[in-house]
Amino acid sequence: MSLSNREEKLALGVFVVLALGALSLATSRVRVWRATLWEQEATVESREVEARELQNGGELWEERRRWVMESLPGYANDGDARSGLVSAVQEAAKAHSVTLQSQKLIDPDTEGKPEEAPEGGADRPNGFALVVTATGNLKDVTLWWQELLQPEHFRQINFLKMIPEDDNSEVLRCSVEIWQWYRLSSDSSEGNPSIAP
Amino acid sequence: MSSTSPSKLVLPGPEDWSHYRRTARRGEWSQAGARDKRVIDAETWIALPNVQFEFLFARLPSGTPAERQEMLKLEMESRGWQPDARDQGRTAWLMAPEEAGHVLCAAVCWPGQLPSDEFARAGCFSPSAWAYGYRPNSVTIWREAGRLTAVWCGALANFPLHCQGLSREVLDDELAEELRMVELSLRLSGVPVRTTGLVLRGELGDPSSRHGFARALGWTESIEQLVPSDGGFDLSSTLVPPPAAEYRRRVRNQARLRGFVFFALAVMGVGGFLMIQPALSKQKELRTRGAGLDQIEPELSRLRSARQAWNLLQPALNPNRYPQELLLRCVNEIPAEGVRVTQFECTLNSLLVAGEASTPQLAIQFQNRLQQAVTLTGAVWDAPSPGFQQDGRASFQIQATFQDVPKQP
Repeated sequence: MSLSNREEKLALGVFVVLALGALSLATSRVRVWRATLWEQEATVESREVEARELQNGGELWEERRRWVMESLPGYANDGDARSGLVSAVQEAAKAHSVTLQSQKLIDPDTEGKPEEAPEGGADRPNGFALVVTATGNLKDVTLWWQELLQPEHFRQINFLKMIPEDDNSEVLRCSVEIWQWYRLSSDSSEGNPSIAP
Repeated sequence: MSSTSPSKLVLPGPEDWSHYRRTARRGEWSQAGARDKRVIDAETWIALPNVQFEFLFARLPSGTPAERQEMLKLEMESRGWQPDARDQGRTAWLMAPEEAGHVLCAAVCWPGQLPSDEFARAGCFSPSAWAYGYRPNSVTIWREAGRLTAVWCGALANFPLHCQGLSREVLDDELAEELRMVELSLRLSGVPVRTTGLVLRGELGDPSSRHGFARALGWTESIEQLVPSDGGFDLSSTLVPPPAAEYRRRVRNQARLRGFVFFALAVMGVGGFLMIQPALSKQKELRTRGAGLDQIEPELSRLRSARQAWNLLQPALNPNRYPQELLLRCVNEIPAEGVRVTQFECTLNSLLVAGEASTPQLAIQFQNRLQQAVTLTGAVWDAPSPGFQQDGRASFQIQATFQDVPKQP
């Protein structure tokens, strides 16, 4: 096939336009690809940093994990753990003249479960919360907490609000959410740890 | 054709030539397909122009070019030329200026590829004659297709009047005699040849034999190289048919265009490779590093789980974050009189203390003492200005956020 000069120039122009278009498209795609690669590199680098940190402290983390699982109070089932906390709260309140207004257990599977809390299991801590409303003077309430929050019990207060009663400013009204950590164990007598942080 | 060495032929323009190869078994020339190469081996190949000259000298009376062409065609046919339909569009008629009331004419037939058996009779036509320039009143001799070929040129330069193959293959006395006989025959037939010079193209014998050969003829000897590599006559020459010139120009333009396209594609390819090569290396490196991390992922997952459990248990193990501890530290900062706390609220990562003071200054002082307390370091404080109550007392509030505490229940 022979082309005239005009057709040759036209074909050349079309080729140049197509080539520039293809070049532009390819450049754009390559730029996106390279940006993706840099993001992947940042991800890999962060993973490497975390891996180095974990491996450098590997023995320490393993030791802590063993200590935690040995030290956590052990219960045969979840019900035992809940009833154990309720009775402990009630006994401590009674011992320190704190009046309990209300108690409510929060099922960690439906509400109140922390986002980062691991799934409970044989080698992982389980937890649940108890929301309590109580009244008492400052000294009694403080002693009540003091007894409840001994380190060997693995309890923590996620929320506390304390305001004086309207009619008697010496009496405080407390709303408190107590979280209990425990482990499931076939032998519930194991839960008597010695704290060695 | 030109020669850069005795064994090499440089084609004037590949598009106008057919290539023939000497078969080893029978020693014959046969067409072996086109070769798009400018330099070929002269030992086994020859190149023939696709434009074949049929020379005819005729004295035509003056007339219009159309009339002369018609007469020339009749003259050609009377001599046995029988063009078929395909030749009608491929025939050009060359006419020299008038000379003594007559017109010198030559017919150019464009037969396309030559059959090999016709080439075997190469002496009856001049395969390459159209490709050379000719001096006035000279005979040009060159070797082609295994024999010597001679062209007679008259007073007009570059207008061959006669061409034929010669019976001898070397420059000797018998060849000189043959040339004299041909010249005499031409003169007797009315062709106005008055040869005074001899042009030898290419390697034809040693210098002494060439000189002796020219002297035997009584002509002036001249040794010239074969035509320039870009071939044949200048495109403006009347001996190059316009279609051929246009075709050659178009082929050159197309070759230039192809070259530009290939160059552009090559540049784009090289540029593209240089642009993506670092990314390819990076991708390969990332895959390797990722695979290494994947291999130790089970171990990392176990350690990560242990760390996560440990961090989650910190509020239960670290007394510094116990609410009663925070309350005690806040109470320690309350002055002996003038400040009363009405609300104490804390979570795992925040602390809120609200109350009232007898004067705004006391409220501000209490806020400052809380913020400066060594036992409450690590918190970001938000302490808005105290407000005024109707009885003149000031109400205040201060909030702390502990940012080093992981997210907890």
